[in-house]
Amino acid sequence: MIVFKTFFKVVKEYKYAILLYTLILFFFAIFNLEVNNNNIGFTAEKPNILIVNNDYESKIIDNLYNYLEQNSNIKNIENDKDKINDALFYRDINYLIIIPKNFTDYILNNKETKIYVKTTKDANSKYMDMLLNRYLKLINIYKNDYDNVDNLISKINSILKEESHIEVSSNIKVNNLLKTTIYYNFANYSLLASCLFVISTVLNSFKQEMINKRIIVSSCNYKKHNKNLFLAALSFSVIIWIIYVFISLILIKEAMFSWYGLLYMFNSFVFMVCALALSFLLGTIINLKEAINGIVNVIALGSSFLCGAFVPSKYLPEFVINISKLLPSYYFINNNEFISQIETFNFNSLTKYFINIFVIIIFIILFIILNNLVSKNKRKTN
Amino acid sequence: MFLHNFKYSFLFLLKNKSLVFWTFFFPIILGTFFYMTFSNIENNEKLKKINIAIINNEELKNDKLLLSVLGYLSEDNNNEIFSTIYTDLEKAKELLENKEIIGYLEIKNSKYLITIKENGIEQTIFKYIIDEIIETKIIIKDISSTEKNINLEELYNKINNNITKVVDMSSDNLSYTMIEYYTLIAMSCLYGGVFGMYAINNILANMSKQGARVAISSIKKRTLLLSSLLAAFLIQLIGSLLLLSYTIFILNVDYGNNIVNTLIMTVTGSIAGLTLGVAIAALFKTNENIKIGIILSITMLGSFLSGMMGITMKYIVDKNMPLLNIINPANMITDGFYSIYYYQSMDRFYFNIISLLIFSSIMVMISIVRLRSQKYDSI
Repeated sequence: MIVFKTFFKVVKEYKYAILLYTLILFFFAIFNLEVNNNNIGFTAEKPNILIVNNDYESKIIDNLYNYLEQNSNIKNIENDKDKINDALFYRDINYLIIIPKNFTDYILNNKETKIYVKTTKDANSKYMDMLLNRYLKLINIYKNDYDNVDNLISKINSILKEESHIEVSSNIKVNNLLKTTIYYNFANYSLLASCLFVISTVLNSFKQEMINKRIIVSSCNYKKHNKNLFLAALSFSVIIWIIYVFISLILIKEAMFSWYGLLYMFNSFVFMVCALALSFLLGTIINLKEAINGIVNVIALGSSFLCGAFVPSKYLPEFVINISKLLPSYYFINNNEFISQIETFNFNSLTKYFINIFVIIIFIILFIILNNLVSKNKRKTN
Repeated sequence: MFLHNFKYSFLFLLKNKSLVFWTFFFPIILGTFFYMTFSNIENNEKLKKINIAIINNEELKNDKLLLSVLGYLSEDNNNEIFSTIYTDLEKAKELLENKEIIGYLEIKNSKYLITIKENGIEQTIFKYIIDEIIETKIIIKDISSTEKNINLEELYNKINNNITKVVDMSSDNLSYTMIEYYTLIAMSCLYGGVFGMYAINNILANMSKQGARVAISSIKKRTLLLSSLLAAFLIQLIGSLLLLSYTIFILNVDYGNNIVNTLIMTVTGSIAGLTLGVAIAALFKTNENIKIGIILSITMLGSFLSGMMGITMKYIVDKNMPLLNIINPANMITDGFYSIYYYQSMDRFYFNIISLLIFSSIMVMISIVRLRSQKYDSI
């Protein structure tokens, strides 16, 4: 029991580091709550746009506003050049439309006119290009057929209402799975960083020369000492895991209180055990206490960046994905992404899930074997 | 004496392995991770060929407009949007299930039915184009009913010759991931404050044995202080310039076209980092580790607010709490690089340079006030 107690006494010293990693995860989850992730039914993408109108408020422009409002999110940004340019750069808006003076009069009197746009040159802005051109094209075609602007507008609107029928064939009946995947992917960093840093540092404290000598001459059995140390580290990891799962249960209720939630939890639990095994290995390998922070940061950040914890793995280059397959985080993150796509729950549909779990378990065994080999070697040298 | 102390301060600081790792190597490692993660992200946001399937049935064969529009949009030209497969329903379902296509279109009882697997911008565009085909059919019908003798070419011109032109004025420098690398340089500059802190600690009598010996020596404190600070600044600058070169030549980071301003910003940022470290060393009467902790906390918090852990954070703070970023040295450096890259006018760049110089002056003043007033009756 004394080993167990001492372990948590030392852990207490690192409470701020643990709090920091937990807060980072919490704030990350809060920021990502805005992600649109409706799995049931079709939801059109709505790019963010800004309209700067230098003309008077005409019916044509009002109707353009209404049309764009139905198909995009019109943002309210102060009409300041720098603020608008910043909004475009940081993708607060994908598309800026500048309506010049006399636009309405020119268009209704068949005079050539220009409408100015600034875009982020991505798929969302291309879609906005299409929407804007569609509206302008309809005015151009029908403006000579109607003397009255109201009639022209109602004609245009009647055409714009015509739509094809679209349906989503997915059998997934739970919303917010993407959000849950993003959360658990990010938890890869928090779990790794907190477990590796705290456990390796505490284990290192037990290996300080003077303390180690005292442990050796004590009446405490070597195997019992190690067993208690392992149990303490396991308890610490489980507490961290419970906190992270608890946050997800609060923030993403619908997805977490379903079968999907159970799969996310089990996957993260196995990964937590993997982080624990790696912590023991690092604690055995690293002798210098000052070096732990650097090595842990490189490992936690490295596997998170390379395996897709911060950026979805579909955006990563092929060579990065190939490298990441050598790391356990890849299989944990791959599983999180797979869970969000499961349509039915049976053994066949979950095969990939269990293969990934199996690979993580192999990593756990590998870390344990390596740890035993290194510590055996070190004991012999001592 | 100046050169002697400069040389040994330089060697002493370089011998601190942990310090060298965090200021020289860690930003380079982090930059490499950024590069591996972000190098593809913006390309993925661009509109690429959308894989779709069309159910090949009798109704499709009679729909000349749909066939010609999809044919045109699937041709290998500048307007290419789709990669289209014409197949039967079973095969289309299989392709959708295997994610080889994003959706398929079936014409049933003269109605267009689109089936997709998940929502997204590609699916939205697919639906939009099919909607536009429906719309074009109505337009053709309308025009043909009012202008009975219109030929095909006139019809095409009437639909497509728009007298309202959309003029694109977008900037070419729109790569928002660059902000990540700019925050990295900012972090490196501010991390360098630890060198300044060490330089001061070594001459403070209550901080190190060396400082106690220095305090009773006959050497002018000003000479010692300036030579130590110069050594610290030089090492820090070497670190920042190494990182800058690494990002330019290996990671291909774009700093705009003004290399002189980029260098001015790096040097000014390093001065700000150094003076921050000096001020913290002078201000807090505590042990070395806590002082390092304070510098690292300020650096990390500043980098976080200027967008290191998520680019939009800088924008959110700039938009909602501008004062916070105006006093944040990490943001002044990041924003300085951003202004060189994105803005034509130099006003914002000069504003950031002046802000950094004011920040450094305040730090120097705080340090002078604190260091001048330090007297020891006993240590």
